[in-house]
Amino acid sequence: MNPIFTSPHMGNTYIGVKAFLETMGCRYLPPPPTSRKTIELGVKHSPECACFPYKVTLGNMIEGLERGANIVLMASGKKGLCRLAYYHIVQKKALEDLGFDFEMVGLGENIWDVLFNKMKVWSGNPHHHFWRLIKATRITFKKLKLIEKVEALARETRPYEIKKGETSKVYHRCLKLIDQAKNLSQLRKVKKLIESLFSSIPKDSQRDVLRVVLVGEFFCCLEPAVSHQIETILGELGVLVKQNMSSYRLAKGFLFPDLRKWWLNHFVVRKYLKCTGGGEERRSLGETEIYAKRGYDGVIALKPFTCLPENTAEAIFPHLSKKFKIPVLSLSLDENFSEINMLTRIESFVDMLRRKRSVSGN
Amino acid sequence: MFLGIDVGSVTTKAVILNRQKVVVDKVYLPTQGSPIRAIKCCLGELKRYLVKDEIKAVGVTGSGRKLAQALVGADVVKNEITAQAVAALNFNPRVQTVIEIGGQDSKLIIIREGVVVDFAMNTLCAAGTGSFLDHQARRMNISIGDFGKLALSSRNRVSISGRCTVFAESDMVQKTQLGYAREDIIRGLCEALVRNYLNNLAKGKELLPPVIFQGGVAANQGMKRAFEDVLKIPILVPSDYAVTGAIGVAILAQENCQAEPSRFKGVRILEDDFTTRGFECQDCPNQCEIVEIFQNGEKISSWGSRCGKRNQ
Repeated sequence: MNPIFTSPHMGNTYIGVKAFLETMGCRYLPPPPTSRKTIELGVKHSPECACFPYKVTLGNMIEGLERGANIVLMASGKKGLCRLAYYHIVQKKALEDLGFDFEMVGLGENIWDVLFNKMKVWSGNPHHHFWRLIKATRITFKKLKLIEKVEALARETRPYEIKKGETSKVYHRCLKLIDQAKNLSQLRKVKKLIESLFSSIPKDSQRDVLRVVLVGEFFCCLEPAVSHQIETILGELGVLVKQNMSSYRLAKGFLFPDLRKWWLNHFVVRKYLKCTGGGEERRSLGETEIYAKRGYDGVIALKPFTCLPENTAEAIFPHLSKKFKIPVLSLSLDENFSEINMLTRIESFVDMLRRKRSVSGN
Repeated sequence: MFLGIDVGSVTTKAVILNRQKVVVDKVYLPTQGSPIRAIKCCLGELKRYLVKDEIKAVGVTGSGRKLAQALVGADVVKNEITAQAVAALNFNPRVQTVIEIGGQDSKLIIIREGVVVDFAMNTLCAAGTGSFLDHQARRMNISIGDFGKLALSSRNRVSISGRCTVFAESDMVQKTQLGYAREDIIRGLCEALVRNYLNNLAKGKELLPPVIFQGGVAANQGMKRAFEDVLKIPILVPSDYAVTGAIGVAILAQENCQAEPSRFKGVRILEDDFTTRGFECQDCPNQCEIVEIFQNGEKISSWGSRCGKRNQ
């Protein structure tokens, strides 16, 4: 069996995965971009109360396997997480019931085993495995870091752009460039090009821009198809979005401990929540406090409808909101979520922040 | 004069405001699933004000605001929260809490020192909105106008589950079969809806007086009484409670009105033929639902595509 990999989408992570696997000499087939069809497929084959990321990733897997892949990489299995920890096991069963013949790899179960032993078999080339691994890891991390930078640049540029949609165009072009870069020297050139591309967007830097921090479950924050492009919508309403989660940070978290998270959990959030619910709820709460103190105007929290950790956080938000005088808008996303409703809420939220600011006068 | 139109899910409202922000005339009609016809009917009734350059600015709000904007040529398009808050502030500048219950959604707006500081909209269930009350009134064969009065005449308290419309209905049916009086059940229903509203929307929010209750359901005396019983503060209902959204957006249009002439298309839209066409774009698997609006066979607006290529 010639191994062909696929992995569910999560924002731009597929670029990193592709770079890694192709440097290792494997074939990677990303599923088509998450669309309504993907979501319908996932929902059809999932239990109703499973959380939205489960359904979307399942839809991605089905589409990827239909394209001809036979190994699915899923970023779950890490102990101490919420239900996500066993998603790859349940999804494997669901997909086998559908008649797919494939291998499921939960990356969180034992990442070192995957990298050093399984990868050697898959790549079909046991020589110099360690060196190729280092080479692949380097380019993957560099690409992910650059993607993180492009995403941040897009968020910072969008509220100032003069012609609507310009930033999004540049953003998509940059991602394509990163994807096409074959080695580190090409990537360095791309990096320079990206900076010049973003600075060439005509901007109106006098504009009064609101600052909002986006927190919540990481999949919802990272996958625009799930969050209904909330970052773009906010940006075009004149809001500078701050969002700290990225594929780079998640990938690093798989290999090394995340010190920023540790500090947040032990020094900031302990006042509100002593133990973890398994998800990103402590990051949501901690970042709310940190950014409220830094003078941000508002917080938008995203969560999948049945997410236990984020629901825990939601119960604590009113307290934080009162304490730091920062409004929090909580959106719960799932397949029944109406985009029009979200637009009304976001528009009202931004309107409210703007009026508040014009009165308080800063 | 300024025109404000609120195209809601169940009813369409239009008001004419003069410079002093006083309502000159108002129309309140059921949308009946055809917002284009409803908007035309509303404007038809206000026809005598729509002459010459009398209308300085037009504002639209409500769930059908996009359609209304394309139809009449609006200067200001605003969401319902802002419009309702502005109207409440116009009615009482010291207001701190606005309760708005409409046909299909309910809102809670918290205002401090004249600025909206927090708001909530119902997220999960239609229990607690006008449609449900309407449906129950029809089922019990009571006109919706008498619903509130009947609730006030009740002497006993019957507890109805208010978490979900389906459970509330089955609970009501069961209580009716057990022989409880109709007015007691209606009062119980009002209280259940208030409970549902407060549980869903008022989580952790401080409801301080003055409280203004607006939207179509504010006509229901029973609901007002139920709110007063729970919150233990007097509830104010403005005289134009049903058209507050339209008033708010008309005020916003006035504030926004500058030297340039209004984009309002004038009375001619009453004669023009408007049609909408919805289809699924087949260019990518997203299959966005695109809506196009035609005025006399000519496309004037379209929206709905995620990639933006078919939005105009």
